Amino acid sequence: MTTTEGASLADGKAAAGIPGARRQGDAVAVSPARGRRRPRIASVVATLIMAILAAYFLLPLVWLLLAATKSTSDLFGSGAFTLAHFQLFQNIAELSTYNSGYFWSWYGNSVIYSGATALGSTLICALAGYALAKYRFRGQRIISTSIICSLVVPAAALAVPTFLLLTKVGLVNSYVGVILPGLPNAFGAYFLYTYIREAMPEELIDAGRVDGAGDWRIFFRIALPIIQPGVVTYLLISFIASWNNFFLPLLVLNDPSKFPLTLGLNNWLSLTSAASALGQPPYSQLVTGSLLSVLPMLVLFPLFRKQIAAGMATGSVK
Amino acid sequence: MGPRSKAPYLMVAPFVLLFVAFFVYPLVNAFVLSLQGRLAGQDQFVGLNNYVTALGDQAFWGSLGTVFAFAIVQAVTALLLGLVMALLLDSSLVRGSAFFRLTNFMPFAVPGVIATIMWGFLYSPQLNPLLQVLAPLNGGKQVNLLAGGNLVLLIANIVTWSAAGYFMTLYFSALTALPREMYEAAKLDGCNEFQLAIRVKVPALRPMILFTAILSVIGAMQLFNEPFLLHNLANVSASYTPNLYAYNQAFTYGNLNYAATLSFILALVTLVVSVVFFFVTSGESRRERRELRASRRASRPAPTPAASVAPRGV
Amino acid sequence: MTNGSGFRHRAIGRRQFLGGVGALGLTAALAACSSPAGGAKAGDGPVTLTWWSWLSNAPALAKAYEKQYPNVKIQFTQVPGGTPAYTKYGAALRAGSGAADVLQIEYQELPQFASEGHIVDMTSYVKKYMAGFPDFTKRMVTYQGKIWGAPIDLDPMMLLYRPDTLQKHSIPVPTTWTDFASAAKTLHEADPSKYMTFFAPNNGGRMMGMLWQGGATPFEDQGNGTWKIDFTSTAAKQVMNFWGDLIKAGYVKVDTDFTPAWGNSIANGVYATDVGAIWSPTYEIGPYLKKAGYKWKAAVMPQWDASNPLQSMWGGLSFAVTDQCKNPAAAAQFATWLGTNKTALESHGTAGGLYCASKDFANTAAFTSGMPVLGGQKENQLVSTIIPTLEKSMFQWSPWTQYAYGQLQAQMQDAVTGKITYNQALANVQASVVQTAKQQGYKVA
Repeated sequence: MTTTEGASLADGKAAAGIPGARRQGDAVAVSPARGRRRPRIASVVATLIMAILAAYFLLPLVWLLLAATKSTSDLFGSGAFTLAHFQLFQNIAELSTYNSGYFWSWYGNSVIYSGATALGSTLICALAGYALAKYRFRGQRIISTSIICSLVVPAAALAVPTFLLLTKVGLVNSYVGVILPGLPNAFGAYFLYTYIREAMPEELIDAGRVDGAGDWRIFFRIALPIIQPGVVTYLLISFIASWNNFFLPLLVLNDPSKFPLTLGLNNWLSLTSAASALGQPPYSQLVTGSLLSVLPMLVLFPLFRKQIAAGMATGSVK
Repeated sequence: MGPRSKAPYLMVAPFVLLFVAFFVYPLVNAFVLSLQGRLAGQDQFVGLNNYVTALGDQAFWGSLGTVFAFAIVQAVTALLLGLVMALLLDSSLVRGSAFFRLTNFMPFAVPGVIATIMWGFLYSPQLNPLLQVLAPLNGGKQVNLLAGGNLVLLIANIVTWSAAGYFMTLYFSALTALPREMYEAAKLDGCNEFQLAIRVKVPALRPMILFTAILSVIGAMQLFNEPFLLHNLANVSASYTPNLYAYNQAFTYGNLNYAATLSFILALVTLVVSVVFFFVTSGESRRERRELRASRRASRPAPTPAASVAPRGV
Repeated sequence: MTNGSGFRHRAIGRRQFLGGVGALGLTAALAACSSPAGGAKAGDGPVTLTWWSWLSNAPALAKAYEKQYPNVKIQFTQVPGGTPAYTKYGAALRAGSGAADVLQIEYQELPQFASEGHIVDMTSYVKKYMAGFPDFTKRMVTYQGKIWGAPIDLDPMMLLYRPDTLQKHSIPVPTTWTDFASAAKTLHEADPSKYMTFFAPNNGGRMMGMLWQGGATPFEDQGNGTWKIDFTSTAAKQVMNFWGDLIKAGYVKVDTDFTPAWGNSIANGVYATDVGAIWSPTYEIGPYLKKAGYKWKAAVMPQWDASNPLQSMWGGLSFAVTDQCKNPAAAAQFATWLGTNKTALESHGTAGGLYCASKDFANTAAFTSGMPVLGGQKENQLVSTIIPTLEKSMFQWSPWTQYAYGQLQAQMQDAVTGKITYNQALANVQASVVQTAKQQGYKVA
């Protein structure tokens, strides 16, 4: 499924008349002409360098996987990359009841926050990107300029006033308070604007108009299927970004039952370093909880990697 | 597309309304707050008093110094690593490149919070046997990375681990989008893979590299999550980074106005740094591109990245 | 309110209704006030109170209270203790929503939350119990003439030590800081893998307790919004440089406390002593020890001048009611119950780690029994010898406690890494705390 989407992305690009033949990235054919000087050795060295780097990127995750199967005393007592007494399921059971059993509500909250933010943000950014790319209207320039300028303003500058704003309108400590500020994503609008400008042929819009379709019908029925690859790319990136989000929920939420995973795990981390009412510092819960919260991402990532990378490639063509 | 169509306005409306509510208004409000002080329980206009205080606030300048150092270390390592990996993958020398493109990009999907917890534990000698192996080199004493004054490097490593694969993917995508003719010409000139990479590919990627560098610097200036979490494992002061300092001023010490001032100054500094950086380097890159075109007869300018704004966190 | 009224009546009726609700609330408040034994009687309707605390016996306390007052439901939430808790409280209180009704707040933090108006004046609820508490306790919960929290305990600083380590090197338990310094030298020279203790530059609270014990009084409320701030007194310099000298000589190890690495050093006996507090066996050392490692004992703090002993606290527990609480009377009653009720106090005593502030209960069995972490040592009996000295202290807290802790932390870090001297560290803390106080509109004498 992802492959077809990737392919249609390339199609969309071709349809948009983007010059430059796209070289096939996956099928690596070593041409004999390229490696004139000792191609074997160069290839071994290059592969070795990549393997070492892959170890750097993977080993912490392997450690997490192994550590989650250990008891707290084995966590400290056994080698980092060895298996000790396997008690992953016992750890999961412990984690499920630890700290008033919040963990699985945090999980559900993360799904709600990321799902709602990704869907909502994708919709409003796609609409805005489409309008900016395919229409001419008053105020267009100021909108697109503001979006580009906002990319270089650090979000941190907005932390305190956003917090006060949410307080004033009574959205602090609510689901909506976490979701709403994440929707108008300047990156998303800019990305989809460039994507739609390249990928959506004017002729199709004109054809739709000739057929008597209205603006909205053209957007939803004609444009959306064509710009779908870029939209899906942003949807995925947006989902990952909201799943990873920490600072905004930290400002907005006080009630632990509304925390996303990142905030909940931060709470447990601070329990390891502060006078705690829950006995032993919760190292094993922290490690197991970390694993469980990255697991869906790590499982789904291989499926979606191509989609994300392909979207980046097209988005990068101006 | 009639001139009187309401559709485009309705289409941008949701974005614009929310953008004004959650970007423009808070930004303006941050400035207004920074001109006020809470004296004896009441908000009062204090002019530029907060700014004067900030100018003399050693903790704030110290925190800016920290993020500048961090920005340099982190941007250089992550970009360089991403670039080397992308060039290797693009060189067709690497076997199993599909595998590496997946594994090395994978940390991008790991939340910064969890990356920090993981590395934080791996920095502890009790949990990491590699550190125990190093003990004899340290005069038999335990190597506790978290105890030393190398916090900038430790955090840079965490961020690099998360971001390098992202840069790799961006560069690699840009490289695959380059026209083949550029390479053919270079090969006719007798370039080997290494020369091809240095002379053709890197210059072609230059605008993208500079753009990602700016964004890395902006990201680095906002550093918050990693020191905030590492505070539980190491001695991280409440004013370690400007963002952390502003957060603590607002919520631990209760100085909301001063926090808004610090945030506003940080935004200004970031803006100035990125604008200066942009103009200096884009001038250079334009010249560079002209030279490149002249010498290599490369037909197309390199892609400019739009999608390289890492949307990590808010 | 009544059925069958006409439209016009309803319009009036709403106002009456609102008035009626107010009156009911007042009645409930008065009822809670006048009868401490049964504030939430049947007929008041069910009350739900939210409670944030990091006490190890908090869930049990909530259950006990619900059992005693079936109309009240306590929703307890675990919070991480210390600074993270106060940051969380600060965010929730300033947000005007999301904070619990009852918060665990230590004495040193009460002035900040009180001066911001985020916790309610509890004088009318707590005052009548004050006869049963030492005057010193009352001073700890009073700010600007009002009582802001229901006090529970006193947390004197103590010296925790490993008798086996000290005995092995024939070091007596130090009773003066001079003895402590020479013991540190003896121990580390005899066994370079061991240290007399650690120095935690990340912990402003511990240092503040040590400054206090050295006779420093950094804050003094002179009335009318004027404060005297003094971090550079001779006493403060003496304490700070004492540690600086031990660190420079290498007899004391710089370590970040409450981290896994530090916990491991505690568990493995790297440190012979811990300059802690009465709660350290339960909350500081205990969590890192395995049962077989319960080899610690408690002693009275070493003295600077044996002829003029001084004592200080690190912590001190009270419960405060927030301005977000819908039922402050019921909340205040619960908060007060936590420090005055026999069941509650017995629960505190069994959980360990605090010295009951209420005079009536301090010497009851729950508090005087032996502590398992201390191998059965009766820590509270030791503490009772400290209390009279502690009660003479005129030490005061200010609205900038957290800020001062943060500054101490930053400056101590610079001092231990040699960037500045220990005297400069204190001078810098002094300058920045004065500046913050002025920034908030206070006068500094």
